[in-house]
Amino acid sequence: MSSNPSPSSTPRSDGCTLAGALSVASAVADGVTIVHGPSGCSHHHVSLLLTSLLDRPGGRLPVVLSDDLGETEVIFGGEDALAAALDEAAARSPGSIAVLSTCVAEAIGDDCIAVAERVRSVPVVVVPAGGFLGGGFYEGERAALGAYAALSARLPVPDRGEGSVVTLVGEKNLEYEADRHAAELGRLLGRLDLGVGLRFIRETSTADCGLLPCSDLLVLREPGLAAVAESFPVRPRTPRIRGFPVGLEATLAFLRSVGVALGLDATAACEAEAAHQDAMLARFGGLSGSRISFPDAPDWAVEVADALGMTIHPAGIPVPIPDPAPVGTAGMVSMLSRWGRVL
Amino acid sequence: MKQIALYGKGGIGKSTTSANLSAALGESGRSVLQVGCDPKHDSTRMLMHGEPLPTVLDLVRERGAAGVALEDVVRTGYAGVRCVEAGGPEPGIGCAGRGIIATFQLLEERGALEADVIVYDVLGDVVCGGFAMPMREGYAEEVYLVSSGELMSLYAANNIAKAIARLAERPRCRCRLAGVILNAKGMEREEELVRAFADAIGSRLVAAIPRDRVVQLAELHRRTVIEYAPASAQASVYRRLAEDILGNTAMSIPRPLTQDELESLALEYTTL
Repeated sequence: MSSNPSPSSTPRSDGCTLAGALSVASAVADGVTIVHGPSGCSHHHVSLLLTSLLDRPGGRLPVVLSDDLGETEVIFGGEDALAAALDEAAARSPGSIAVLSTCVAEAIGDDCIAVAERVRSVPVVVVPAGGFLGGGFYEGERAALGAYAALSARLPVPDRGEGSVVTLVGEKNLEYEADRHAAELGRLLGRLDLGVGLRFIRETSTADCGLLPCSDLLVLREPGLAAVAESFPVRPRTPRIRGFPVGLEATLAFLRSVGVALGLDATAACEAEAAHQDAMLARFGGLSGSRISFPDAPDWAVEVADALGMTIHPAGIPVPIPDPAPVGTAGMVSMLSRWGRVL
Repeated sequence: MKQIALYGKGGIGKSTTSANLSAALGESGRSVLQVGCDPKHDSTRMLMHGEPLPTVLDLVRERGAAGVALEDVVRTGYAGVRCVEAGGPEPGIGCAGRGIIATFQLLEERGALEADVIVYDVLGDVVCGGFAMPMREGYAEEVYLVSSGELMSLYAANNIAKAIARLAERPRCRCRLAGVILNAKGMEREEELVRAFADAIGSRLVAAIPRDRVVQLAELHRRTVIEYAPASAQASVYRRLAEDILGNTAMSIPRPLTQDELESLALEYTTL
């Protein structure tokens, strides 16, 4: 039974389940995504996706097909239409195919899994994405991550190279800053002679998804991903960090957490990063003494303002608080640069 | 134009009753259209002497709605009764309720829904909004509940009464309960029970159709009773039902029973 909340209590950020699932499935670099539903469902969400990709010139355009369910399919079932779309998708020889169901397909009870199981030549994942069942964008995103995680256990294990495999989980693929955030985490991990082993999932090949079970550390984009990460086919007690670091001290704490998780001494890494932060703050020393204001006063913004000797006062000059929150020391650089432009 | 719908539990005899009712009305010189609204599309079989009709939805699936003409789906059967079968998906797939909606839209667009009497023979219980559509959209203005004295049959009839009561609250809905038809199984005190049920929900028993072997014999010969045994007592019952329905103006908004009330009623007329 649906537990969908009333419209008045639905968070504005909690959009369509299908959009969330598509944001993950379309990020499989060699994948094809089938939206099992009316063509309008794909049109709307692919338009959104393509709009966000305009910010990444030269980026790959995802392959998204619709099986274009109409009234005839609603009456007689849409499984034949899905089978035909799967044939078309498989003919493109993708690394994998993701079938995303829609409200209509779920309402008429199409057995997408049974249809998908008939495809032998390409791995197929099925993601239930009927929004009327409850939930929204985030549930779709997590359902898609869970589906690809389950697939990863059936894939050949790729060459994991030497050293620990650190996996970024659930990057926000529609965020403009997603690649910058990943680059910052890569830089921080580099202080411990580590790197990002797997981005699960952002421009990741299907074969590389097979690396997920080899993960030595999962770094979740946000705490809300903890539940889906519990279902990942990783080794028992694989450590996980429940969010990307936001703030000066949080960035150092991130390094310490990685060290503890992987049995590394992070002292030198923390000292080096703290020195880097000091140098960064010195660059913005001109902001010292400014009187600023911002809404809600998040801890990490107060922290950096204090570190720079700024005064937070309701009558101060309003400064922008980035959304999403700035990740790592590099995120603070971007934010302070914006502050500098308004002060 | 009189538009009636027969609803009731699956297997209770809606199609047999509908076909004989249509045959009796046709014999009396009325123009009659019978629309079978059950995916198993056997409502008009006896009127068509066993000839299977191409269903509306099969043709829509093959050709698309634009490719379906009226003469493709409307055939004339016994006594000039025009027959249509909606059809539907295979069991366990798709949405048969949406199929009913699509069928009615197509028939209306093609101007098929014209006759002195239109008889809609609708699948069992009102399982979803699609099967309520003939009532909801004003196609079926008079609903007859077909039931035996079996509890499950009365339970289904009571559920349909709930649907009518709910729909009747809507200003534009003209659908009303026109009565209850007993299609007897031969149970003890069966007519008393069904009459009491009809009274309890604020309606009345309009006909008690007895159990008679001639019904099975007629079906084996792919005929309605009206055609197969026109002088039989059973044929007279169907003719009387037809006349009663034509003259019936006693429509009501039913008061459905609670589960406990229904079970108590059934118990009252059952010898333990």
